[in-house]
Amino acid sequence: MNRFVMLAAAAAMSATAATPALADNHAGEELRGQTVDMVFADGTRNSVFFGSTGVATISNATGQSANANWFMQGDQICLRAASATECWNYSGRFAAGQSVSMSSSCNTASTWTARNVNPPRERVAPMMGERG
Amino acid sequence: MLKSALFKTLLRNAKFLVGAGLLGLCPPIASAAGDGISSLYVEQGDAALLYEGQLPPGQEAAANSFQQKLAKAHSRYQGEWGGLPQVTIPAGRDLVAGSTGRRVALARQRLGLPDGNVFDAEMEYRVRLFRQMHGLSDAARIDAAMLSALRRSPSHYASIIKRNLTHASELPKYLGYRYVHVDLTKQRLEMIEDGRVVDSMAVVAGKPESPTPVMAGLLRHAVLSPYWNVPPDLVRQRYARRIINGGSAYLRRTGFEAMSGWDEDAKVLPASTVDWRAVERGELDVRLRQKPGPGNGMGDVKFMFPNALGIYLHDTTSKHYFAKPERLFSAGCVRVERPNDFGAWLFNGQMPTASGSPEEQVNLPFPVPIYITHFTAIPEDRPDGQMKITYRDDIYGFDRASFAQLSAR
Repeated sequence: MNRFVMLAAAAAMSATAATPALADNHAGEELRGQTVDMVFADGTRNSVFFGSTGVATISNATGQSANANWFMQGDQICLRAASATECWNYSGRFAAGQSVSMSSSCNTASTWTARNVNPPRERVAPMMGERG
Repeated sequence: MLKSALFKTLLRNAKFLVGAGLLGLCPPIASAAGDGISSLYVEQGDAALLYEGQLPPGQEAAANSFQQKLAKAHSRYQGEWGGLPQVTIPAGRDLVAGSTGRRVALARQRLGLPDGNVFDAEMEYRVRLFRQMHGLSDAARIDAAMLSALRRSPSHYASIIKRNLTHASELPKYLGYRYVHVDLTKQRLEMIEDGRVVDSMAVVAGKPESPTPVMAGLLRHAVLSPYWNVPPDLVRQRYARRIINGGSAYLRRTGFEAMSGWDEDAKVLPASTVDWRAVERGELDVRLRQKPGPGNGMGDVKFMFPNALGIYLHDTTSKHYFAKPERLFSAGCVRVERPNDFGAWLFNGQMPTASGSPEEQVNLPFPVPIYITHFTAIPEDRPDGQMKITYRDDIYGFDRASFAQLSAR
């Protein structure tokens, strides 16, 4: 285990004796920093990297790629570039390797498969308060 | 081809928000020495997102901007100044253009110049370069400050630059398209976009006895009309005695209230039911929080990057500290000078308006990386191709701690 992880864990344990509760796990958090493979009805394959700070990189099989911003809007996951926005209904947490059928606001159907997902985040604050 | 209407638009407007760079898959923190204060602290849940999650797999970052500058400075320092003879120049009058004599001859030797005893144009140029690389003013003279620098071993300066390079190497190689840099040794906050500082402001950082840790994290939300939840050690050291002395009048005046616990359904406790002397003795921990309002220690807003150290950015009612040249007055948190401007930038244009509800959480549109650094050597390129290094005070003794650890190995 990396040293900083140990430090963080040790500090968290010393901060409270309470059992760590799950933090606000907003919809889509499991995809932050992860890549999803998308297959469209006509067989087109893209992959979308959902960058941890909101930048998405969309790539196709030939190596073309483009960037957008991604964000959650209610129960939808959206990609926006310039003035164009496309959103998909998000029905629940993605699981690694499990395909999910999605339809978009642009009326395209696709299957999404997350290569990996983040575990639920554990609450780290305000268990200890703010030092001020 | 990329599929769907949006993707077609993307191809037409392909403007890459993320600069080219390669991803370092493994943060080099594993080799960092320290006690958690002088070495970088990253919350477990943020580490992968910061170090591996900002750029797609396969892209690699060469180095972050701090690393690049410091690596160049270290190499340049070693090459130009590291191997010169350690000659002692006796104290005396300032040496300036036209000066002659034995002290000039020694200084020429120390500066790596050909033998001679005249302060000529070549020596003047060399003196200027030395001063630039050793944190001295631009004067072209050997004064007491420069004599002092000349008497130090070149390894003294090289090791400072090296320690700073190590600190820079702990940060992600790709810092982000937009990120916040809290510069502890200057007590300034910078908002960075596409590699440029778009705004900056003064901050108040921790006192030397309660230093603000060096950290990396992700700012995720703001809290409007916040409570201040006081950490248990501060309740014990600072507030228990005040409550014992001031009683309920103190609590009413300051807006503090004791709580039954840290859960969301915690209840306000009658202060008289708390054994504050036991709290002061460290036998009992009580959650103390300060209600939102004019005297609240967090001011009108706190900016959260959840971490177990209890370190956040926040507004303050003690604005007068921002006018001071050195601003080390907090218990570890970072107080920001213009929270509304900072918030507007975080929220892409406008600071959210408070509804009046206490502890109102507003999520940022996107998490924004924040890096709290403690650099004591700041290199900058000059237009003439030379380099200037500014050395700052080791305000928390982190450099000394690093040297002690290195020498103990």
